[in-house]
Amino acid sequence: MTERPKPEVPMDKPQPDVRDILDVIDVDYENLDVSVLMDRIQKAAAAASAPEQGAAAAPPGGLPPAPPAGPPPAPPAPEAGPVPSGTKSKLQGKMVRLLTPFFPLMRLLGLPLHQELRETQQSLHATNVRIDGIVRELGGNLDQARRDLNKSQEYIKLLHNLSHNLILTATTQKIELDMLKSKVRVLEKELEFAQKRERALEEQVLK
Amino acid sequence: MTLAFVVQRYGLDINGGAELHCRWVAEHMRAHGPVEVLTTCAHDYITWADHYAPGTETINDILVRRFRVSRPRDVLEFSRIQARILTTEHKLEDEIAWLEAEGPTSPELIAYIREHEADYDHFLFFSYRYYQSYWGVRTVPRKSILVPTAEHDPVIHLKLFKDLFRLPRAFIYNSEEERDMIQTLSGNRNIPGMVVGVGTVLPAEHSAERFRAKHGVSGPFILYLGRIDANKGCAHLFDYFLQFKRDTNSPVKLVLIGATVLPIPDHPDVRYLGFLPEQDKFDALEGAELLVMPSFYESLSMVTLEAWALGRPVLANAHCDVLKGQCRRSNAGLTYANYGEFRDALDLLLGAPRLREALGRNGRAYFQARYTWDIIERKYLAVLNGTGA
Repeated sequence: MTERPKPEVPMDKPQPDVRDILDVIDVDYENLDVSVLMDRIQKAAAAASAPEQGAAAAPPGGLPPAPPAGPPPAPPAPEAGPVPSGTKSKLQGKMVRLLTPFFPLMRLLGLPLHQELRETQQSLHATNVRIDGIVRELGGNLDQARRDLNKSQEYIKLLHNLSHNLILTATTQKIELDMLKSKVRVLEKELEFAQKRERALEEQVLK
Repeated sequence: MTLAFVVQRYGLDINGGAELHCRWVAEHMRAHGPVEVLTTCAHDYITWADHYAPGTETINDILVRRFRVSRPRDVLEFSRIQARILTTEHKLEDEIAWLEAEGPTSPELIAYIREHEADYDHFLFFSYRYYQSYWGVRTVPRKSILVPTAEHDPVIHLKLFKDLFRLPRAFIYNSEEERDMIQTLSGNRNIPGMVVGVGTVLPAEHSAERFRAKHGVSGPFILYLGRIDANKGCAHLFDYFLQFKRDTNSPVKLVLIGATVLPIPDHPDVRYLGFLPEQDKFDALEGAELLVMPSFYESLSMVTLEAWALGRPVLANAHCDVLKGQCRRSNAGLTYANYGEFRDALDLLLGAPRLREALGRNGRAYFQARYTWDIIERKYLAVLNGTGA
């Protein structure tokens, strides 16, 4: 296969995660079959879209990238040691005393609970983006989708009736089968009796 | 054998699919006997207002008889009737009223067909959904051959067309999918029919360099030919193409040729060149990596056949049965049903010149085997002589 030329990308542009389709889809040039190729493309597209759907990635131009996993570092606790000398150290000491009442809140923000909230918010945002995409996709075909839905409802009604009729027919057939089996048993007995009679009569005739 | 081609409008400046199809077939069938065209004075397919003078004229050595349209289409009334018959229970009379509202209503044309039935051996009606075909076929059913040029349009499910499809002496279909759809809808399998389609005339020479120099197009490009309209799937094409550019950083451009009724995205890699002459169209095809066909509804895509005639692969919308069927039968095009498939199919085609070459070769062979004019004419003659299908 001829190697594809590398696309020229401006350095200031963000690089998308480009996968080489030629590595994913194998083309059999000896027995080229569009149907087979299309099946492979469909599978590759489905496989590529699965992780995209799973990840709560931000859309292009949307939210900034998600922060790395793990709880954010907690704010440093006030040091219990002696206050260092000099103006800078005095100011630092005053700041620490001033912030002391807020340390519980800062610790709370540093807890996994906050991270969980942020992840949930990101996940909800990604869902909203997907819903917007679907609504855009449907835009032109909304009437068609509605018609298809109505048609499907009618099909379901028909299928329901069909199932009902099939159950009725199956029940009737079952009853008829049981009746026929009984008749066969009666006929077997009658045949058995007739054979015995035949043998008895033959014996009488031969005497 | 005298043939009458009956079509809603006719002229050298009319480029509608069915009308152009009719003109090309009429011009080629002239070699096999006298040919006349019976049509209206209309030019605009929205209003059907009289534009040409009534009477006769000769176009490319074919006698054209034009008849007045009794009333132009009232677009609002037509929309109202169409919405009603497509969404609510209604009677056959309502569908007849819809047909009259759709136009081009020309009782004079139908009266002429009735009075001159004996003058013609066959009447070939183009486009099932218009006034002239419905009433014309009913007027001369034994001499009528219907070329439906039907798509997956909601109106095809109307009762009046189910009856219409059981009347003609024979059918000439554009594709296997069109034949199957009409036969399933109307149960007219007993009426002879043949899948024929239409040929195309290729220019003696075509040059990609000439196109690039004339229109200032550089680098690899994919081509869309035809009316740029949301109904033709162009809105999806724009979204998909721009997303493809963002996802892959491909240098490919999208070149659009044709009249537009849709805003073109303002992007340096989307080039709109407007309506161009035939020679430029073939030059563009010669230079394109592939032809993209995003249309949802097609009876027969002529530009797809032209791309294959020039050995270019096609990337088509899989939601269109006809395009999908043609791509699979010809083994000369890929299809997509969503953005993921569009991205992967386009990426594959652009990245593998050998694949494009192989598909193009298959396309050319498919075109040569089914769509050259001598094959088309032979098939038409077979249907007319009753030996087809």
